[in-house]
Amino acid sequence: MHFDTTVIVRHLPELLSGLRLTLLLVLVALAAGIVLGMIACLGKLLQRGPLCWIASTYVTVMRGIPEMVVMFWIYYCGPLILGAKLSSFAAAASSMSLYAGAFLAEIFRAGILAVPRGQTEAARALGIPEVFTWAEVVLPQALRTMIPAFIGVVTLIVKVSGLASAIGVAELVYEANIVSGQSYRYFELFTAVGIFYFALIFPLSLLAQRYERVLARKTR
Amino acid sequence: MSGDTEAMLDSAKAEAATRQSPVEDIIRCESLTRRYGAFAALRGIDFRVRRGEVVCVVGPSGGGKSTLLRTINGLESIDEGSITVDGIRLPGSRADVTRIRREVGMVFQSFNLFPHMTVRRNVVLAPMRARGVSREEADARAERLLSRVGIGDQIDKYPEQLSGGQQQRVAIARALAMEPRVMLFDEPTSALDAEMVNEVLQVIRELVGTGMTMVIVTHELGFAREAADRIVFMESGTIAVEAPPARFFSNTTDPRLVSFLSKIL
Repeated sequence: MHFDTTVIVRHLPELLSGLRLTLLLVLVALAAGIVLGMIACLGKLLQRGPLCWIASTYVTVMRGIPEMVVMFWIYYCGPLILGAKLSSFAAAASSMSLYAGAFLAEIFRAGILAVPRGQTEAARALGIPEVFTWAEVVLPQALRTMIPAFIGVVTLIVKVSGLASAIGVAELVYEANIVSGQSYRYFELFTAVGIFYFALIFPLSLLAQRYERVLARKTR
Repeated sequence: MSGDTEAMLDSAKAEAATRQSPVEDIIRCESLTRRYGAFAALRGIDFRVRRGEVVCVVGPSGGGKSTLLRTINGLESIDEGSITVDGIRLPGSRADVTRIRREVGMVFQSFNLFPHMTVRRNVVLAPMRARGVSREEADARAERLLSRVGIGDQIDKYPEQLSGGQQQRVAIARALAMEPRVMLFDEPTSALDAEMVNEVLQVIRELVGTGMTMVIVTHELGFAREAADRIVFMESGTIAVEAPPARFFSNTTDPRLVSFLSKIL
């Protein structure tokens, strides 16, 4: 058997258009996931009340079921509840956002709880108003410790985006499937898909590793 | 030094404090009680500090010393009784708590500097955010205070680049930048290596010279003897003994104090 690289070159336009949609899905899911994550994090930090209860349930459920189930559920069962059919892109993006939000909520919470209590006490003892205590003392420190775990969620979401092909979003895996089906060159085309994903994820992993080393040096 | 000379020094000190301002309590705690669940950290404490007075609080761990300080600036809530600081009363509204905190500077055992900010930023933050002081004014104040505590040349470094003693001196400057009327020190030298204890005590000594009202929780009995107008011995959430240094150290009537002193001295 031989590896025909010209197949990849010939289908590059389809693959790149798929990659474009993959990136779009990831960006939408992360943006919405950050907002959801912040709300759920706030809910969990409150430790009581309805928002806390909703946030805890949301995080526990989302982290406990496969993303594929969430996506299929929204795509196929959504219409029964909403009375309107979501586009496959909207269903994929919203399920990925819910998924990202649940993971980010826990990362945000852990980051905030990792800031030593003495920091808020010092700010309060100085009479610094609560808004500034959060904006200038707690959050900047929390954000730093969150970065490696946050990058982890980004790579997770990149990988999970491939599932959207199953409900017909024309992202990278979907496009590769189509063109492979036409040319029967699964080997070359899915190798290319692997390389594309790796090219997205590897720099992120490097960044996370570098950042972890910086953090390790700083927190002696 | 004989007991008599010390007693004379004490009365001279007390007189000086009286001369500076009319005898007036800047801090007044009445029947102060603070509980953690079933455990009472403070049991009906009555405690007063006059303007310009330096009070050292000593005693075994778990006796309520830190809790007393933390209650005075609203870091711990009050279960019973009340505190008045410079006319502001607790328990009170959130605004009252914030007002008290602005008038009361606090220095912690573990420094609690903001690690992501330079020394300068650590010192200017509170005046700018809590008092609305302009950037220039806050900067000038920071430079003045930091050189006073001997950190003037490290102003653009980060806390992690400083030694423990230097960090604690920055923390003192940070508290002073709010121009508080009272300074509270919660075991300011307990987290320091032996060779750094003195540089921090020296800064506190200089503050004593400026007439600042101070309450200092400490295990440094030598320092308390020399710097305090009055020493308070706390045990099991109560004030067991309260006396000027000379009388404090010659006390043989309170068995708890005698036992404490015999363990430390």
